[in-house]
Order: sequence, then structure tokens, then C-alpha cells
Amino acid sequence: MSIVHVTTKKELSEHLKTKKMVLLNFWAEWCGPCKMLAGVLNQLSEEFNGKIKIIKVNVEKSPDIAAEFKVMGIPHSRLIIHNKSYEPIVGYVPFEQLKQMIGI
Amino acid sequence: MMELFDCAIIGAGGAGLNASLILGRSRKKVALFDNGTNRNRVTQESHGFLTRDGIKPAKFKEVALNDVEKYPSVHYFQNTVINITKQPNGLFKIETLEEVEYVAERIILATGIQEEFPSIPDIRKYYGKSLFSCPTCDGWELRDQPLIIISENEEQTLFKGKLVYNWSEDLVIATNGHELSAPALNALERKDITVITEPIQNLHGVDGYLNKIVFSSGFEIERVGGFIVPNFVRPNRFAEQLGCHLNENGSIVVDAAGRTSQENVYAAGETANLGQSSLIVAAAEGYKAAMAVVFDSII
Repeated sequence: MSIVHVTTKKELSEHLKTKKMVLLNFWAEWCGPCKMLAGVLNQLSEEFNGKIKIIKVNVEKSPDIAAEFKVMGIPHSRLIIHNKSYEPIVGYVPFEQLKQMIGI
Repeated sequence: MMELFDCAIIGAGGAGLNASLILGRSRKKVALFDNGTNRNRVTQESHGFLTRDGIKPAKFKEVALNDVEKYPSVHYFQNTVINITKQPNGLFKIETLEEVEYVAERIILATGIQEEFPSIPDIRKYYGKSLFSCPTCDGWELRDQPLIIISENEEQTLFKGKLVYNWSEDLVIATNGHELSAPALNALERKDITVITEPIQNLHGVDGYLNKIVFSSGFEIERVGGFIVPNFVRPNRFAEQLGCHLNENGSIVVDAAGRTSQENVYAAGETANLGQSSLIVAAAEGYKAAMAVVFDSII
């Protein structure tokens, strides 16, 4: 599965060097909707393994990355294509809707 | 880090908006949550706010949001908060119906109150147009008109009867099937206020403007408007969930600045008092709670 967990900005920038589309997901242990979205991200990763890379950032462990992306509430996800970051997707989104939102 | 809000303000009525303004001006990071259930949204005009007398509630909110949004540290979320919990680290987690979670250091509860009306068909159609709950807010527009007061609560019946008499002496009180004590009846009779205790069958009017009340016996009376005495309830249990002490009447125990019994939890406006006040009073309480937040943040 192409889901990776990063904790540092350096790791993140390495993982962003990809031709795949990236879905960057900010989450925390205490966040219920983040757990629900995790299931959706797993499904997305399984079904579109070759197309999408999911990068997960725990906001408690990596507050600097969360700050850089101006994360105010979680779950907060960003589609990034060739290092271009699109509008945030905030909150839980069901599988089909998320697919539509990221155009996959 | 992930945005840790200095203060989450729950509710964007007079209290929440004014609190946001003051906290924005005080450079605090604010999350203002609004689910659009302002109690005044059903009324045509809001009265008694100096420089804003007669303003439409939607216009008031628009102007207020424009004021607030000038301050970049205020973030406005059109989300419904469903849970607020204090975390072991002392911060508050705010959960929303939209399944987004936020974290804040302090909370201002400003969610207002909502009305529970006597069980009369279509009563909400008339509320805010020709039937009101606050004589000092809306009595002027009904002055010297034939009015009705609908009240099932004796204490309030007597009080509202005498109060509304200030604006119109042509008064009928309908208790909707509730008897009144002899002393109360006597007191009202002395002012020539007619009391009808039989249940109301229905209200008649056009577009929310009352013209007639029909009682269960078929008796009818023409009235152009008046006042209702609703029960007021808080629309959520945030104060209880957070462990805020309550007064015997259910209002939240707060100090003069809106601090509750729970550290870092404040309450402002009608939700604190569990009773109707007015836009300007709620706004002032929001101002005071915001000042308390600023003062309490000084390390």
C-alpha cells in the first residue's frame, strides 16, 4: 500500500518528489473523524495503488508541518500534484465523494 | 503547530460576534462557530440597539461579520458544534457535525436560547411578525393596538399583563386552558384586562400578521398582535458537559465578566442567563467575556 507516515519536513519533501498525485492527510489519535477517514484512505490506496500516494502527518508529532499547511481543524487533507497544493479538504469525506473531489 | 485557537466562540449572535470582535482586536486566534440558528432570525426588525434601531437581523449579522472579518486572527466556521471536551492536557476539543475537530485553549459559550411555545397550531408563523416575546423590544410597534397576551404561566401572565399595559390598554389575556388564581384575576380586572382561560383552537391572519383568535368553544376575538410567553431552553448541554455550575433556575453561574465555575470556560448572552435579554445586552456580555479572556491570558 502506498501510505507513508512522515514526521519531519525533510521526509515530507523527499516523499513529495513523486510523479504520482499525493494526498497529504493531517490527523491525530484523539480525532474520531480522522479514524473514519483513515479507512477511506486505506481503500483509496488499495484501489489506486499506482496512481496515488498517501502521506499521513500526525499533527501532535509534527506541529511544524501542520502550521506550514495552516491546519486549523482535522481531518485536513490536501491534494498535491507536482508540488502544487490544492484547496484543503476538511473533515470526513466518504470514499466516492473523495474520489470525485480529487478527480481520480 | 496545528492551529491552536486561543479561544473558540460557540455561537454567532450578538454575544459571540462582539466577543469575536474584541478578541480579534486583541490579536487572539479565534474560531467562531455559527450554525445559523440565531433566535432573532424570524423577526422583521431588531430594536433598541443604539445606532441600529430597527435593523433587520440578517443585515445586523452581515455588518457584524464584516466588522469581525477585518481581523485576520478570527476564523469563521459555519459548522455546528456537537461536543466540547476538556482533554487531559487542559485544552478543549471541539467536535462538529461536519466531522471536523478543532482545539482551543478557552471557550466562550454564546449559543443563545430557543423558545418552546404553547401547543397552538401555526403559532410559529406569527412569531416575530405580529406575536413577540419581548415587550420592551417590540411593544412600540404595537402601541395602542388591540393586543393579546398568550401565557400559560400565572406569574408571567400577571407580569406581562401589567407590563404590556404600558403600550396598549386594549388587552386580552389568553391562558390556553390554564386557570388563574382569584388574586391574579382581580389584579388584571382592576386594569380592565379581559382574561380568557379556554383553550385556543387556532390563530387566523395573513402572512404571519394576526387578525383573529378562535377559542375551543367557537368564540372569536379580533386582535392584531401581541405577546407570547414561551419557555426558554438552552439548545445544547455544553455547560453541563463541561461541568459548569448552574443556578437553581438553570442559568449558568457566571461572574460579572462571564467566567463560569470551570477554568477557561466563559458564557455570554442569553445562554448564560437562560432568559431573553436583547441584542445590545448580549453584545455587551460578549464584549465583557472577551475582555476576561484577554485578561486571563496574561501570564
